[in-house]
Amino acid sequence: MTSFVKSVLAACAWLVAHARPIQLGSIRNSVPIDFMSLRNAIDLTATITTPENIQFEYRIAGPFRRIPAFLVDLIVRIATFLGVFFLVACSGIVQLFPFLSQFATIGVVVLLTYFMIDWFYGVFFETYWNGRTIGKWISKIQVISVDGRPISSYQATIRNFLRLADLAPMMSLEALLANDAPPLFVVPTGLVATVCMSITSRFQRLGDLAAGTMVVVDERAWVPPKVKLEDPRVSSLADLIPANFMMSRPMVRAVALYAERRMRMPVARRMELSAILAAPLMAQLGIRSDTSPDLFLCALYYREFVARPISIVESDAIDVGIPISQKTPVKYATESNLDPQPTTSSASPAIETSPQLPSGETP
Amino acid sequence: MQLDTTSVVIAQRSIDEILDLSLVVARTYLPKIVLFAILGIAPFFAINLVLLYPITDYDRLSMASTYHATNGGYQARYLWTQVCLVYLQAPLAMCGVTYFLGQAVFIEQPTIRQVFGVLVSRATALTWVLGLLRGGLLAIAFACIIFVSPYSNTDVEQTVYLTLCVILVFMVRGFRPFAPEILLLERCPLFTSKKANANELSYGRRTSWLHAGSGDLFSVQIVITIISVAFVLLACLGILYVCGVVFGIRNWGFWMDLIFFPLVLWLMATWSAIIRFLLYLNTRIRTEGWEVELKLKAEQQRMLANARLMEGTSS
Repeated sequence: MTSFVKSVLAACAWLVAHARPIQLGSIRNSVPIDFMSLRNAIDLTATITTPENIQFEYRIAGPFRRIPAFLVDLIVRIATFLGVFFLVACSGIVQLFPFLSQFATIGVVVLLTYFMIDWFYGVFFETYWNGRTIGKWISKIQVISVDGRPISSYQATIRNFLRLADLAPMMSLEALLANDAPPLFVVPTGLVATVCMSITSRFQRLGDLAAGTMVVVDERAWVPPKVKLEDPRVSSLADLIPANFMMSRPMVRAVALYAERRMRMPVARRMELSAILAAPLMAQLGIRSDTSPDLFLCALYYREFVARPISIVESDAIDVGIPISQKTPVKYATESNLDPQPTTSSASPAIETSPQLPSGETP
Repeated sequence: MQLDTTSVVIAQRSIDEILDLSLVVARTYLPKIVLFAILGIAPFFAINLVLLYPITDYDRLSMASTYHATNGGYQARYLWTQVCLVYLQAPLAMCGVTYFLGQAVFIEQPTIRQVFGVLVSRATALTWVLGLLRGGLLAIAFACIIFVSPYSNTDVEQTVYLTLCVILVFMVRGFRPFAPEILLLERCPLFTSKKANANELSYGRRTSWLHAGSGDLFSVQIVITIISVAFVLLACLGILYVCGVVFGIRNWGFWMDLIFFPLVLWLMATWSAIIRFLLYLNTRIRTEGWEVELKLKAEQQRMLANARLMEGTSS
């Protein structure tokens, strides 16, 4: 005991003595991340590169997105089981097996049904419904292979058969209820799956690791945001901006982001935010300082995304990529495809468009 | 500090995405979060252990009881008191983790000394808001009362008062959860004088503004509480299982009461601090357009830097 206390004290003394040189940066991350690359910034996405060198980005479904799906599937399984039980009990199926008692017949059918539903529900649905079960369909998630391909029946079988291991360790009723409860290990804790999902980069449980699968969010991807430029003075202010003024690409992104988000902010916050960039820009470009900074950033947006493409391409619209959610290519806004919507105070129709970077990049 | 280069992608997220992301953040910064969590938790863990130790003698307590309470009743009382204390003390203990996460978002690597310096500089505000108004230090005072008179006949009343205190703090934290972030990361002063800069926000005004447009925070807090309770139960069951396999001890015993149960509670407190920080980012993005502010400020900085460069070149 004394030696233990001594060693603890020695450890404390060492810590105090070495407190100064400890730099957090010297401790290595468990997951190496190149912070300077935005692509590697922490997010819930996984990038898959196909053999044809095409990259897909998936949103990974973590444990908290998967729990509702699991619970729905559990309810569906229990409901199916109860339905079959009552069907068997009420039908005359017991008469088909005269050599078994009525109780034994129902018992056999129930056990078989339970086995089939519990073990093959997931296998069946995930194989024939493109990696979805009813719960996953409701939660808008699906299982795919780690290389992006649809899940095969073999993979579906492996990952569903290992579900039992993921639910481990099973606790006995003894620990939960009372010391005199029967020592039946029937209470799943799911700790194996939780720990496994927490430490893998794609939130894979044991079954997923064994089958080479992952669960991703099955949602329609990026919908171009609508940008409303409701003030008719925007276009005239845009004309005042010198023609030789070129915005850098990060600045274009910043202005586009502001234009997209400004409608959801109160006016005071809009003014506060827009002044951050507009004030030095207006001073640089010789625009009157009493000009509204919000209006000025809108004018920059208008000049970059509305006026410029028209002036460049005149009447022909340019394809700049096909968002997944749309069947037709997104085109640059032109007079004809601008979607004017009436606004409460506008003398001229509000300009509503979708920002597309000139280079075809996703903002 | 490059404002538009962040280690966590700044985007608006739903609650399930925030919970999932908290696991990724915890995994990415595990060593540092554990370090700051241990530094914050250790004093509270030791104080609670010492102060609550007298009420773990269940046999003696039940024998001294005047209303025939059982051992199980006293054990439940101890466990509930431990839960209440940890709940009240958690924001105070997690200040280091909160500050570290705030810096880590902007790819800063604060040292222990820097974090400690910030905590000392904000000690008054933290003590007032988290220690007194939100009960972090009051919980210790309450534990002192238990320590002084463990065989008091007012144990039921004590537990009721503590529970009421926790409910009150739960309501306050449910509607206004981001006090540690406002105090540590935004460094808002507790009070502002009339002579102060008009743009400088006091803690009270900032709290009102930030939480005004985020009405669903309370329901989010309830969801997080339910999940935390489930995880505490699962973790305790898992520890019991491991103890059963390794040592053959399958029952909830002394070690579970004194060491593992409080450890699991503090683990949940650490995780809750990460979730709260991500919720704070989400709230700022939603209500204030924070990601827009970062981008615009980064552009402003670039412009000013370019202008200085041009001036230097021309001169």
